[in-house]
Amino acid sequence: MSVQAYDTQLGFALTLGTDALSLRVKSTTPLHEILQKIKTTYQGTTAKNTYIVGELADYNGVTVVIQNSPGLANPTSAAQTVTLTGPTATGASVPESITGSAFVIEKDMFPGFDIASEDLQQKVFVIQYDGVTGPTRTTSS
Amino acid sequence: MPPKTEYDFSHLYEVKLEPHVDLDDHGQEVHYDQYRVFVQGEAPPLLDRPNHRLQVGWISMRAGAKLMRIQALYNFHAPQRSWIDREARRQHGNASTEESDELPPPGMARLPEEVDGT
Repeated sequence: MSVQAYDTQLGFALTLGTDALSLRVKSTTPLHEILQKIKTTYQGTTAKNTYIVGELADYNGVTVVIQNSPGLANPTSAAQTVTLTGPTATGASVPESITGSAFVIEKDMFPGFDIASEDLQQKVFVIQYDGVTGPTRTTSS
Repeated sequence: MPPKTEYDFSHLYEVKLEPHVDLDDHGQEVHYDQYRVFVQGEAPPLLDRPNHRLQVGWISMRAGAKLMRIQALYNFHAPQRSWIDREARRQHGNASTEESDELPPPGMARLPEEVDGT
């Protein structure tokens, strides 16, 4: 089996388990995991502060920009299984993905309009993983 | 409107639903409420894929679920995609009766209206 070591930016898919919307995604920000650093420096420490890593992870909001489809429902704010799926590399059966329970904390209810722009209408929303289930990552294989 | 033709590709491919199970940072299994949807078969476009199978989407385990497509599904042509969608929902047993939305492309630019020169 040979899986490409590198791949392009095209082919991302966002799936909302309950809303089951087909969204034309333009862009998305990365999912960023943050762990606390806990200082372990004491009076006997010399030369450098010392740290251990915390056990509880936080996740940033993922900002998603989609092409607006006026006939399509907006995502709800219900907690649901949200999966971010990358493109499937040549020679792979399964794409890289991240899944977990999440909810939408910010969303454009209605798109903005600008006469100076010939771009398509778009909407922006922010997904927050809630840490109840996952998020977990599947590597491409 | 005539009824939509329902194609059958079961002689080429098999659609399989597998419960989505991942491992967390501690190596513990995490079970999600959705299936991975695979297509398997000894035919293009699966010949260069491991075990001749390819994940083409996800489908929630919830009642009334629809196939959630990922880009890999577009390795198949439209009638095949429609059949895969139908097969996934049939195997689910309690899925939506409707095919997942396939959004049409944005409208073509309109040609400028002809100007009557008379």
